Amino acid sequence: MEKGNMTLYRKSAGRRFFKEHKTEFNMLIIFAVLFIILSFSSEYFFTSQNIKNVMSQISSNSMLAIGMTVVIITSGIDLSVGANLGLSGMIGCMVLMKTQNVFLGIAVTLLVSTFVGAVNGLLIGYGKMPAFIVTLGMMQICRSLDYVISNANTASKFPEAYSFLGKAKINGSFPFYIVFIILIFSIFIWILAKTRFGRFLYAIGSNEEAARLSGINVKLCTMFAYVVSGLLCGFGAWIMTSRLMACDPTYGNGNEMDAIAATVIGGTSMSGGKGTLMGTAIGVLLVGFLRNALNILGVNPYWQGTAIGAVIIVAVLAEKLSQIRIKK
Amino acid sequence: MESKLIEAIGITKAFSGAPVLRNVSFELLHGEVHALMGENGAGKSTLSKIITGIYQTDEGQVFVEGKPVQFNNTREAIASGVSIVTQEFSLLPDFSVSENIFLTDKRFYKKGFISDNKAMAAETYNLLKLFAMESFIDPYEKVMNLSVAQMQVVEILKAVSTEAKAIILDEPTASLSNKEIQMLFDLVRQLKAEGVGFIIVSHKISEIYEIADRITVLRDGLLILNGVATKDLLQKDLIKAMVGREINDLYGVKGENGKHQFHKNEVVLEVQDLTDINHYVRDISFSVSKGEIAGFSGLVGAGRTELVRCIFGANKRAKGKVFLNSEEIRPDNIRACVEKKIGFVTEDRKNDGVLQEISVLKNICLVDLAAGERILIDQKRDEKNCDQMINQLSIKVMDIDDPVKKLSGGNQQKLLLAKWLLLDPAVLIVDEPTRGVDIGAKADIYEIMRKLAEKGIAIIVVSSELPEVLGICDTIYVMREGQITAKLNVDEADEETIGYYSTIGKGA
Repeated sequence: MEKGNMTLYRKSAGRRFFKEHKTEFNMLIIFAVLFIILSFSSEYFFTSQNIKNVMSQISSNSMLAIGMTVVIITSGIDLSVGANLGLSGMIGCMVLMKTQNVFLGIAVTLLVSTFVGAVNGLLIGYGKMPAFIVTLGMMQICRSLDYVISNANTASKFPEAYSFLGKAKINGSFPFYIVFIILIFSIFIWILAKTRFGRFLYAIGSNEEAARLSGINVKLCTMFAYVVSGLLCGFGAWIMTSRLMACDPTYGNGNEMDAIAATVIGGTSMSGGKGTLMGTAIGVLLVGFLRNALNILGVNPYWQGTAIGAVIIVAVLAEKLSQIRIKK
Repeated sequence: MESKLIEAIGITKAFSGAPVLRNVSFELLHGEVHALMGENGAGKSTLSKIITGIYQTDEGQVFVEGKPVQFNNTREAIASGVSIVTQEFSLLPDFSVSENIFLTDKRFYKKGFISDNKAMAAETYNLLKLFAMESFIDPYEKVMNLSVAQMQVVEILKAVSTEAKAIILDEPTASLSNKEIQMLFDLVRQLKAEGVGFIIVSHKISEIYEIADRITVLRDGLLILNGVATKDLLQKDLIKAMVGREINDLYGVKGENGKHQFHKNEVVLEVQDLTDINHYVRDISFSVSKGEIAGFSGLVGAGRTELVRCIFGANKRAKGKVFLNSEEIRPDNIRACVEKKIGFVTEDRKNDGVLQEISVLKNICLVDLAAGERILIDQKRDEKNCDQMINQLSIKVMDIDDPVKKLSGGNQQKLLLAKWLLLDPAVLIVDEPTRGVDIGAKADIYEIMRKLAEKGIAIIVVSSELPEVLGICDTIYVMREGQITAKLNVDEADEETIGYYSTIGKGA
């Protein structure tokens, strides 16, 4: 082996990191610029209270966005996340209300959400059905069961201990659930980047047949992507109900759209094989702070959808344009 | 004096810096069948795509009936009477035959947008009757239910319906049976008599002698023979013009006695009575020994790809057994094959070979990761493996973190070999090892395969290029209609024998 040849294609770890995460850096810059502009435009924006508000608003959505990213990387989609959050949260909370057993309540929430994810995964991975259809159906089923089981009533009167995830503070002020979210993000960033399962998800999303012919168990990996997405719906439900100390059957309604938006803004390609959770984290923050800023600035709520929609389209357009430039 | 239907002068074309055509000229007369020949990658498809506006030329000019033209797309070409029938048909599978033929024909749309299916079908029937094919194709049949030959006819009728003066057929006979080929040629002759000019892109010599008036040969983007009358051209001169070099140069010198040694008695892979679930291949039995390169030849559609996919577990089996070192391999299970160290480089690099958007490093290490037990990725090990393979196969890579789509076809092909070599395979199946690969990389790939065989790997090659099969294989199996019709030792095989067994010859 000649040394000279080696240096041709060898890069330092730092440069590799930058190259692989170029989209995320771009998004981070956009986010930083937006943040600074907003800080100057309103004195209320950059206050610890406001930032905590935003964090609590995006807390459960960030969980759904992680699962959504994992699924979209395999070139799938999970439309059932919002409804799954609603259903698993409701069943868990009703068990909690009846038994007043915190551990049991959390366990049931996570089991139900994972079970829903596993059913999605079985139908999509092994049944080879289109993800869009399966999860669309599952969305309707979960939401409907949510209302049936709860009889459209709000569950509440939980034991005080249940609030530790949503309300506990570190040093008396820093919300514990932020630490929890950062932990979950870190774990899944690590899974996607450093484990064989993560690598296979990208391979399947990039070219399913090539992945299959390379000896990857495509069915199992695809199924697990939806199991993961389901599990994270359970985490989302846990955070939300523990923060609000109640569970309403409408929880999670329409949240799948916010999760998809955060994922796409973060640079994950809808056609699969491309994207990272760091990008998704930035996407979650961007959507959260933008919505918050629009409220603070007193923008007519009717116009807020236009702003968020424009950001999604511009983010994807910018990514496409930068790709075209690279090609030339 | 005969007028020139199409004239192309000084056509030059490069794809991302690599020249594909260099100052090539070409002409087609009215009522003429002109064959455009050459090996894969010679530039014949590119030239025909430039003439029909699919690609634009860098330099040079195309004339149609004396007028200079610069088509931006096939629609403009069709408007000037030039149509192309490519290997990938441009038919809509869910539409009927007549809808496909008259899809863009204004005459069949009332008030410009309401389609008149009855009139379309009637006109299609008239067209079919003109060529005595009314019993062969039903105008109302959906295209997805047609055979390849029927689709070919529909494509040609589509061109005829636009009053095409020149029709380009790209590898028209690739997947047709002999009878179907004759029917196609009858259609060509009939249209030719009416003054339509045909350009037939092909590398099948015998057919060209049957149908073509003149032959033009391209090689590595250069014009080698310019419109020589078929009757004045000896077959061996044509082959020489197409190949243009001593075959031994490209395929390397084999060991002593003109062939390389392999361990005949050490059978590595044994296939018994293999039939796939669709019966594309039936009752296939053969074995490959240590260090042997076994080639599978035959026409497209003979079932070669289906056979190797079935062995590898990618296509389901109906019956039969596969043994590796006398151990039976679980059927229909790719992972079982990978675990037993059988590698498979697929024929369609783009669609089921490489992960286009994913980096070179991750592509090369994919099989190693899939076959291994490790749950975590070992970046150092992967980089070491990747470096080793890049050096060993001299893959030209600027940066191992670049997506694979940045590599040339030849380097992508080497990358696929590298991916499987990291498995340290006992058997390596390579389907079309050099499709869409330039001459330089071709020679490299042959050398790599020879070295692998010398190391004792049993190699199965599926190839449509006869010189390739004759050049690198030790044993040649010829297939026809899903069965092996001949097993030939390379010393007793030649193009004619293989051609005989792949078309009419009955097997032992």
